[in-house]
Amino acid sequence: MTANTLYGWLQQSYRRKYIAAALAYVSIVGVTALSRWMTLRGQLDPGSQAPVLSALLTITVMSFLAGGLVVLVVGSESVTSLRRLANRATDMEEGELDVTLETHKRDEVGDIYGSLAAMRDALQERITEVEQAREEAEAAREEARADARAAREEAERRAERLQGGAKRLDELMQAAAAGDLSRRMDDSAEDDVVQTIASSFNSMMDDLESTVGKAQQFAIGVEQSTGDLTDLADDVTKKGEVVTDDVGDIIDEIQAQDEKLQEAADEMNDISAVTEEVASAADEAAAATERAAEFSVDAQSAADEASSELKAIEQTTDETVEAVNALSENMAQIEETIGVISEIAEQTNMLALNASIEAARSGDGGSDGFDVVAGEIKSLAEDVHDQAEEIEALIERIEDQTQETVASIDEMNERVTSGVTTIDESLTAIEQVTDRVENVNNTVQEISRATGEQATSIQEAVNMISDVAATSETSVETTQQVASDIRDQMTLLADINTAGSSLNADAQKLGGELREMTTSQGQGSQQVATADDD
Amino acid sequence: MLEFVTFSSTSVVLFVTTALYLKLFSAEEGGIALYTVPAVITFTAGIAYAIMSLSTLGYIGDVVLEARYLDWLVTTPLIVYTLATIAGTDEATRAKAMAADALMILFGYAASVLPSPGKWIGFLLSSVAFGVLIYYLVTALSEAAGEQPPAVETMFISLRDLTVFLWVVFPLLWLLSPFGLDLLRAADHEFLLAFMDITAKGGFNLIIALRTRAIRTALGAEYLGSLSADGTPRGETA
Repeated sequence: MTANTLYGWLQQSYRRKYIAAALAYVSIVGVTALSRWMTLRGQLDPGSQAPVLSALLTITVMSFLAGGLVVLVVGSESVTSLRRLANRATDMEEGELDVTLETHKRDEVGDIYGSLAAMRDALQERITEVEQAREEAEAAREEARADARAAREEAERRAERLQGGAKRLDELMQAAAAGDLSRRMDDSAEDDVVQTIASSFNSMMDDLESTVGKAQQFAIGVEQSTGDLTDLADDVTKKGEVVTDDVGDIIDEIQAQDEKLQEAADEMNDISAVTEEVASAADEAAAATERAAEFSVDAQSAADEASSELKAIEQTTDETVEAVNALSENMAQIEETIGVISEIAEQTNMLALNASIEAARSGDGGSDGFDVVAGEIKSLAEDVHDQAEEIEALIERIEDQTQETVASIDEMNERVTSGVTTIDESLTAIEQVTDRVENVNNTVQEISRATGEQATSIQEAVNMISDVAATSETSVETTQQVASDIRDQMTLLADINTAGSSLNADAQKLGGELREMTTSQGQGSQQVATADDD
Repeated sequence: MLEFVTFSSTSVVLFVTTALYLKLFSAEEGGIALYTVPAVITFTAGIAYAIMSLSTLGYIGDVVLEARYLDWLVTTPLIVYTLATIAGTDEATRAKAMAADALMILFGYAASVLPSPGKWIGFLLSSVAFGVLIYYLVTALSEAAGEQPPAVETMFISLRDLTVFLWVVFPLLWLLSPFGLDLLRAADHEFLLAFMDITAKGGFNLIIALRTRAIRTALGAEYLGSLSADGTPRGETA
């Protein structure tokens, strides 16, 4: 590598320049340190040589580090920024004007970014202006070209129109010379010259034609009118015959229709009667259901009453049971009292026995009276005892009967309770029946009302049909009148036809004479023939 | 005594840098790896230098070498991690670069403790690993950074250049040191190493903190692309 190429290589990049400068700086320090060491080594004693060398090396390394850090801190950042800036500028140079030109730098590089951005914006603006101007120029040129083309086309069209006008005029003149006076030039032509020519020509032709036409119109008119009249009378006669037939058919159809209407009216009357029957049946049903509803309400109140009666019975029965029970208790007390009486009777008996024994022991005198009294007392006591036993037996029977009565009353009570339940159920059932009967009643009422309306509607329909039937009878009469009118008219038409034929013959004769007259004027004969053909 | 001053003042500087970094930066951004890893780097180095200071005072045995290489084994892969994250490279490349870095440190330690010729083999292997790492930094990582927003790319280039420049000096220094050709005295060697450690770690952190802050203040967080906390997709502003 020669010095020149090395210099050129260095010049291409700030990074290289910085590195080269750092290397040069380190070399200078290194060479200085080395030369100092060479100088000092001879003067130093062997013991202090190593520390001095170490110190020099330390200084060299430190200076290398310091130089490197300076290059890094100052150089690296600015080099990177410059490189990026260069890339941006290259992008812009290649036409990419929308490159990002933002930076956080506030140093010189930041300023350059700002300037570059402003320059870019100005450049963009200028480019936009130039493009706009170019577009405007192009648009103007296009417009001019279009104008020229339109003018040329307009001139061509006009020449064509003039040519066409002249040609048409020539044709019409020739036709007029040949006798055709009916043709005109189109006076709504685009070109004003052609328009003027056309209107002049047309007015000239109008004058000419009216002069020739007036002479001929009368004859042609009469001839045509009489011919048409005859034709018309024939047509009317034919059509009148057809109408007469049609009217006959119409009368038949109306009569048939009338019969059918009568049938329909009869049927509707039948339906009306049936509907009225249905309505009255529905009314009866409604009345029946209303009665049923009333009955069920009655049944409900009766059941309520029965239920309350039964409840009263239940209560009374309970009270009876209580009374019977009280009776039973009283019986028991009586039984106890009778027991006491029985005991007293027994003791009395024993007392009488003792008395008779004592009487026997005391001897004969007077003992008979005492003994008799004792015997009397004993027999009384036995009677009392017997009576007490009888009462006891009676009370036992009464108790049994009381028990039976209580059982019967309980049974009855149960039945009454079950009767109350049954009546409650019946009451519920009756309520349901009442609801349903009311529903049925409402429905039947509704049916009755609807049937009544239907009957009215049907009656109205019957009336309408009767009206229609009456109208159709009138129609038949009217149509028969029409048929007879048509027949009268046809007789009149036959008369007209005869008169027309005779008039036509006269008119043809007149036309022939007029044609003779036009032929003597030259071109006129062909014109009449043309008008005839039309 | 000289070495104690060197180590302890380096330790203090690194701690101060950590605190400054956290004050300037990570306290605002919290929870994002990129914003805490640099603080971990300087803090770890600060601890290591504190241990070295204690070692020179004789409180603990002579662990200067071990403390230094343990420090480097932790912090230098983290520096590589940070560079890769800023560049936005894929995880596989990042892992390879970090592995190369760790190998470089391990072989460097072997070169420092083994006798000749083992030390020269260690130096050679360490230099090879360093070459691989440099290769990743200037190719894959730089390419990835090229797709980041311009502001982020500029920051990556500054950090990369600083790292490459300083790390190239470390093996040269080793050659001159008592472990190599023995041209430098131990104290001078330690002083130069301490200066370079401060620059490589503290300077690294300050560049990230100040640059990111400046960009955010001047242009808005979205100009940081994937680095911004609001997660604007990469390339939108590129």
